[in-house]
Amino acid sequence: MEFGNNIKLKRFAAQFIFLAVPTIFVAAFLLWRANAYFSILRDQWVEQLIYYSAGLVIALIFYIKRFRFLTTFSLLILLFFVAYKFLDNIAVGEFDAFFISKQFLVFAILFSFGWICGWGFQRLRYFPILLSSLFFLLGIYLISKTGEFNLNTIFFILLPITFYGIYLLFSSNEIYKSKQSNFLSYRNLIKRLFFFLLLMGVVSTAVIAVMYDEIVEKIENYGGGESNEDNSMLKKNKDGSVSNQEQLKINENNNRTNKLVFCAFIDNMLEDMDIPNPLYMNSYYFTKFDTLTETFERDKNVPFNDEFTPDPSQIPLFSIETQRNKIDSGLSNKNRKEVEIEVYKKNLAKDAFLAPSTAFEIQPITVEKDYQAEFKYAYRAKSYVSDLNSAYFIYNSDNEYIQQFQEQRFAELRRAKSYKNVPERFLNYYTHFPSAKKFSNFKSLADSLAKGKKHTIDKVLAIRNYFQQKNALGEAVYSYSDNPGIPGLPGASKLSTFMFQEKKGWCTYYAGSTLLMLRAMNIPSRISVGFLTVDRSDNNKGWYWFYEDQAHAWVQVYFPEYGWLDFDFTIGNEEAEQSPEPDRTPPLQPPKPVLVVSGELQTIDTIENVIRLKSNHLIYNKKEFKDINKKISLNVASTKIWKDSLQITIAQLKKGDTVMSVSYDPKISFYPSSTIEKLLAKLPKNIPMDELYVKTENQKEITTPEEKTEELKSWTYYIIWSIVALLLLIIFILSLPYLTFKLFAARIKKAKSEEERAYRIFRASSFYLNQLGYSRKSQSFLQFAKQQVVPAFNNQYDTFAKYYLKIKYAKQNLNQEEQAFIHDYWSIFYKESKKKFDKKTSFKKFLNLNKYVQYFYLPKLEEANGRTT
Amino acid sequence: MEEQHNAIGRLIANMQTVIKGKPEQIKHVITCLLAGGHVLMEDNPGTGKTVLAKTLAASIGGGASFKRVQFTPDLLPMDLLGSYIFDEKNVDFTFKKGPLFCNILLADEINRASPKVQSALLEAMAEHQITMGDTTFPLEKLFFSIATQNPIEMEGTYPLPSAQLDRFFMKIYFGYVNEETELDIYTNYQNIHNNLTGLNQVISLDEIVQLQKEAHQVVVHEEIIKSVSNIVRATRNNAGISLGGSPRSGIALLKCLRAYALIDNRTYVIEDDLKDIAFAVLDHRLIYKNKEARKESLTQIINTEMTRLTQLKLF
Repeated sequence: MEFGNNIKLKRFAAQFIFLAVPTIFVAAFLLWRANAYFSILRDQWVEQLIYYSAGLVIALIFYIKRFRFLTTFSLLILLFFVAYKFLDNIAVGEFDAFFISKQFLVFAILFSFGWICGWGFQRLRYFPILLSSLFFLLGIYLISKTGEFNLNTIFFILLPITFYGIYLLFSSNEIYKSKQSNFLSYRNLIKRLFFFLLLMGVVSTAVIAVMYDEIVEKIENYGGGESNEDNSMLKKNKDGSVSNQEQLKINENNNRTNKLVFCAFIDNMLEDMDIPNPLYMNSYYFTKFDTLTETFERDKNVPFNDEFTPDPSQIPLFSIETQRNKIDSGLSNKNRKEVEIEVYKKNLAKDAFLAPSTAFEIQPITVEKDYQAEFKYAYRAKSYVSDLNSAYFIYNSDNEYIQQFQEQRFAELRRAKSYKNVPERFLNYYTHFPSAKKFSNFKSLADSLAKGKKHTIDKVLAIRNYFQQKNALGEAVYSYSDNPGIPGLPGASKLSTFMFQEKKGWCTYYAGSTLLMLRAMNIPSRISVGFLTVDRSDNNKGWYWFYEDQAHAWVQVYFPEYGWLDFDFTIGNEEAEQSPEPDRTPPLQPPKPVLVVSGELQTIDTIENVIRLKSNHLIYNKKEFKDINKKISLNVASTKIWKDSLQITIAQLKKGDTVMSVSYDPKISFYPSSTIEKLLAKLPKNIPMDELYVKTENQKEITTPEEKTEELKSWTYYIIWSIVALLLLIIFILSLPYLTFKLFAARIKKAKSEEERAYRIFRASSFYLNQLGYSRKSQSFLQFAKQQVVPAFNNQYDTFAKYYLKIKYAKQNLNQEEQAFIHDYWSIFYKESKKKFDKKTSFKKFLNLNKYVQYFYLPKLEEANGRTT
Repeated sequence: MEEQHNAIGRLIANMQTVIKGKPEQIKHVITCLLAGGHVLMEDNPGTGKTVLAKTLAASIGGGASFKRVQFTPDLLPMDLLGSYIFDEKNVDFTFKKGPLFCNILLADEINRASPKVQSALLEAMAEHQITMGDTTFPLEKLFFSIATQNPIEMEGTYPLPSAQLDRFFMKIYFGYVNEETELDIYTNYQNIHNNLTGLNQVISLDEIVQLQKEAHQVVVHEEIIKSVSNIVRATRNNAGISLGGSPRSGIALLKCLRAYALIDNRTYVIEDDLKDIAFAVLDHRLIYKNKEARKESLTQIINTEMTRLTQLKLF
């Protein structure tokens, strides 16, 4: 019959639109994610999706007819099997048979799976439950396999499958029901779809709101066109620059590139020799270890904090920031010296600061004109460095000379005192060992290694030797790998998997394991991250070039009096030590400025070439005078004037410009400078300057240092906020009936005519009565008024109903009396209605959301059936 | 207007002294009367169908003639229409009018008569005239027939064909009264009987004819007309109904709506009128596929339309 076909077609369309399409959509996410993990899939998720969808849709159509599933499906499998055998055996020749048959296998499996899904949708009532749980499990499996539980996975796997699952349960049943009732309402289905889309939108928005920062970072990374994989050593900043990660997580793999990050001049030579002595460049110390996520973290409350972390981007050019207390916090006094370095940043973040050992001074400097294209920022820094510290000291090298060199130092360290006199707080902090059971094997290994060793350095070396051990075949037991894999058991420690099973990993693994063992031996130690320094310089002694793959983590061990010394037990990442490209010419080091004056231009004398400044900041021989507010005349006859990166003439200067002028002239560097007045008196009247920089608008803006609240927003924060948001949402939802009622009531007052008013009263009163439990259901309005409302409330509602219907249908105006009645009726109604229930009851009734929804839901036809009058 | 209402009010009040617990049925019968139609009442014997018809007839004065015909299987059309009788005085055949020539006809147990008689009656109802040989006799200006029938399932009945059922404006089900009313009836049956015999004639024939004219003036909003159309058309497309309503049924419904509004002292039809009488007007014209559909389909259609109407904003 025509009718039957119609509903079948309609049902198929509904199955296609409301079941198949969402399923394919979610399958796309899963396949896409699965491709990221399983190499066999060869990253062709679009094709695979097409296979799956084809299977699904064809089966969906196929099983409308009364085919038997077992027979047809067996036939399909047989067909695939034959085709597969055929490909395997016969199709050898010009094309890769293995590849083709593998592809075919993937196709056959996906198609068959799609086929089963199509059949299930068509025939089985509870199949969607099965499918949604299957998808859910698959999603969880993929998340556990492919990566951490982060925003990406939440967005692209968890949210879609969860919503899909719930949605499917609701709508599939609706469609399936139509088989029995021969009635299918698209409106209901669309409603459900929209409701779930809305829900998804709300939840996604909530997730975005909560994880906003992470998203922004993600987007920036995508936008930069850079590799999306994480380099676990380096952090990508918004402007594409890099800096060291502020925490060190034990990841599954590490992605490195070979871009130049910065170059540095380290003024450190081996004693008596003209051989440069490279030093590791340190950025942060990690002293805390999160055992749950296996993450090494910075700690703001380190006792004896010798970490010097200035923000070079916030220090004015040539200004010097010194924190000598860092030296004291370093707790060392033996064999130390000050080492000066210069860092030229190429791809390193503007605010990053790197220096060897204990740094205590920084001075941002300019980059010489010719090098500005390559190096954007530069700074000088001073560090307090032990003589023992040297990259050669810690290289794991077979080189005889290096080993000899190292032995000398080890010998010296054997003379180091015991930790008896070291402050207890310091010792306790830096020897804290995680109590989690999964790290106990580190402890036992450390104990066995330390057995019989008297000196600290011997214990340390025992760890080094342990890493360097060779097996019976003479092969190194531990090796370097950027992809060490992950432990098979969830919750297993990645570190101990590395240490005791896989025995391959990158610096984070080595440093982490070393740290655990050192601490197990009660040796104060910490992890340091920064850059590994390799001396590849032949021509430019003391210059080192740092590439991205040199980002590094190693340990620092504290020896009494000697202080913190670098140790690096990472095995054989030779790649990092080789230069990816020949070193370039180092930038010219600018001479040391004698005088730096900055301030506002007051007068410009182009004839005499003299300018006058109202200066508030002056640096003389490293001595800084702030807020001096003095007028200073400068001779700019032979001065290079720069504006941005353009050289301009004196004529182009403008009054009111903010400028900074530098003199490198050593002749003026011998004046006493105890006070600014004394100095200015001695300086020439028109001080000859070498360079003048005009600050442009955006430079002038004193970038207020963003409160870098390194808030590791705790979970409680999120939980509290979500609870608050949830509560607000609940309150809002619960108050919806009341708000709606108020809205209706307000619209009565706004009514322009009595007719309009009557209509508004009709709406408001219907809503109000419905909320109180008097629902019109299938009664007509007048019946409702007479039979339900008036007996209950005695509020003349029937009269109102009569007048309302008269307005509606009679096409004639109300008479005076009737108009007056309508005009005043709302207050009568409201007053009478309130008498019926006390406040508590009506409050309760107004919380009834079920009634609320019912009011806006058109009465279902089935519902109306039973109520024949 | 007021006066007419009083007339109808009186009529209803009068009838209620005899017919207890059936206000709706009374209203429906009067609706049919004012709409110029005929009414069919169906239910088990002894539920008051005949009494209602009698009461109505007794209430109408001003020369209204009331005839009652008990339909039996051996009843012939002639018994109904009348026949030519040889007049010895005039030496000619003169037409002796049958019981059809009256104002109110009670055709009792119409489904017990043979189809031949049934169609004779129904034809007269439709044409408002009787043709005998080559002479046409018009019926009375006000001709209102109340047919009663026992449920079709009962033995010894000739069910009315649906084409003929269509001629009745309404089919009214009587049903049993509720316990309270029934007790009342048993207690006071003597009084009720007295009421029937001593019933006042509260409305005149002319008044009824006048009211019928008034009913034509009642305003029916376009949306209500549309709803009538929607309902009738929906019965034709409904899955549970094999024969839907005809345009005639739509017209009947509109006529009834007007009359019903008038009873309620209104000059306009409201949605409630539709709700109240649509079922009674349409139900007997439809042929349902099964019992389930009989219960649900029409109510469903009417309720859908009611929902539409209620939510309309017409000004």
